[in-house]
Amino acid sequence: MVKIIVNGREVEADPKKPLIKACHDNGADVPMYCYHPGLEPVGSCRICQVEVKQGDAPARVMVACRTQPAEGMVVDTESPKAHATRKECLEFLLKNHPLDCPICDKAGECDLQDFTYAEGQDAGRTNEPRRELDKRKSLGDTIVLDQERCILCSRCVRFFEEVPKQAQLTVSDLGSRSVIATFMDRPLKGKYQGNIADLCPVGALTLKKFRFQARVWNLVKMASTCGECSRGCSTTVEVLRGADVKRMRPRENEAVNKFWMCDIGRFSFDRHNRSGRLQGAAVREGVQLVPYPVEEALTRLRDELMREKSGAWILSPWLTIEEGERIKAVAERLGHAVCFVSPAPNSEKDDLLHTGDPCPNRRGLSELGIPAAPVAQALEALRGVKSAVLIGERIVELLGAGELAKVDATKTRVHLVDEYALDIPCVLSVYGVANCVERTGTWVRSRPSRHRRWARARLPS
Amino acid sequence: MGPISAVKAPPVGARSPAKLIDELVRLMPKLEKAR
Repeated sequence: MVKIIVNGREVEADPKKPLIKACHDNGADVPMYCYHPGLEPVGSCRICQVEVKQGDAPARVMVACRTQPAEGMVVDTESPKAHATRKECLEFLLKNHPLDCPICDKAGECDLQDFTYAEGQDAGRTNEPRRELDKRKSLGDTIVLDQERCILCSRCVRFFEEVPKQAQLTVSDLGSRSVIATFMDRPLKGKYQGNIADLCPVGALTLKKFRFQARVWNLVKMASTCGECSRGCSTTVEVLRGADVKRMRPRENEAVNKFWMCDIGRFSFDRHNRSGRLQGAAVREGVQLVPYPVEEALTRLRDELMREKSGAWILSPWLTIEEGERIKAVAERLGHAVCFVSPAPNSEKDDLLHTGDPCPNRRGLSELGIPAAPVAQALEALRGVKSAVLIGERIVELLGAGELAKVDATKTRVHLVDEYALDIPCVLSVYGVANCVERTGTWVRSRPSRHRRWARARLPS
Repeated sequence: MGPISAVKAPPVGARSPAKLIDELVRLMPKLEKAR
């Protein structure tokens, strides 16, 4: 570490990290477009210029993202010279940027908008028309590019080169005609495309699923954890007016997912927004399930469970350790067997984030002493008892509605706690359950071994 | 991002498995006493 002075205050800085990081770590608000802490700095946008004095040399304005801190360096991010230089850069960047903030999805979280308010000038000084380029260029199934908004920071280009290590974008053409493009106009591929919409500082790259869906200031943002694999990426769930999840984005976590997440997790909100959710409880009367007050349905369930010695509790691996602990205690008191469903690994495993293990809390439930049961084994356990409780979101999906329909209703009585009802003869009662963006709790990541909590972010629809 | 708190409680109907089990346990007086 070296000692430098940032805006009159002596601070310690890592000489291997760019000066802009030391400034940000110590409360100095230096704007940035091309710089991103998850990517190699290139110093192309020039907006992060600060005044630096070193030794006897006169102070000069330097790009903070491409300057390494050195012992005794004196940095002034607020000097008139630094402000003037950044203002000129901003004017240049805005020369061709359309003034369409009122209809731009990025408005409200746009770095260009924010820094222009903070440091830019009130009016443009050019009379020349702006560039006219493609405003809706599709880059595949996930991303739309607005070429007019692009300021060519190249974060998206570098992301594909440095993170999934599969270059897919480039800056094509020269000078004022430069645009971001895919090679040979091929659509983007892979499951990390959505990250470039997060990286884009200006709203040039937008997600097809989020375009014109919500103004960002209307979204309630909650820290959460992705439940689509055992990696457990830190995420932010963004909900519009307490109803629909509109966006899921990665939350910085150096130990787990850094700044990224895969599109499987990113777009898992489609599942959370589905209609037809089961509310309350229903109990079988004759050939159909009839809505029942939850307490009355639970009283019936209690009577059966306390009477029946041959019972099994089959858990979803989406259950939290708090829930698993409670269920295990009840099952053990009743003398019933307990296990959680452990589906086979899927083919999504990659070297970056996705583990291929669909169970977000396999480790947590295992550490509680609840045995994992492959799907066939769980079904066998179910068929071998007189009374079974299937509990947790996606439990029917994991076991298979078709397989459950084959269960002999005269031998096994099934009670189902899931997001959706399943009306088959063996199911005697059903209970609606909150899913993983609707409740709080703890999962244990497959690695590193850290507990994670999510926060309830929306209500059941 | 600052500290997180739930937006509001879920409506009667869909509930967390933990809450459902707590309600079930509450209905089991002998079990609760034993614990």
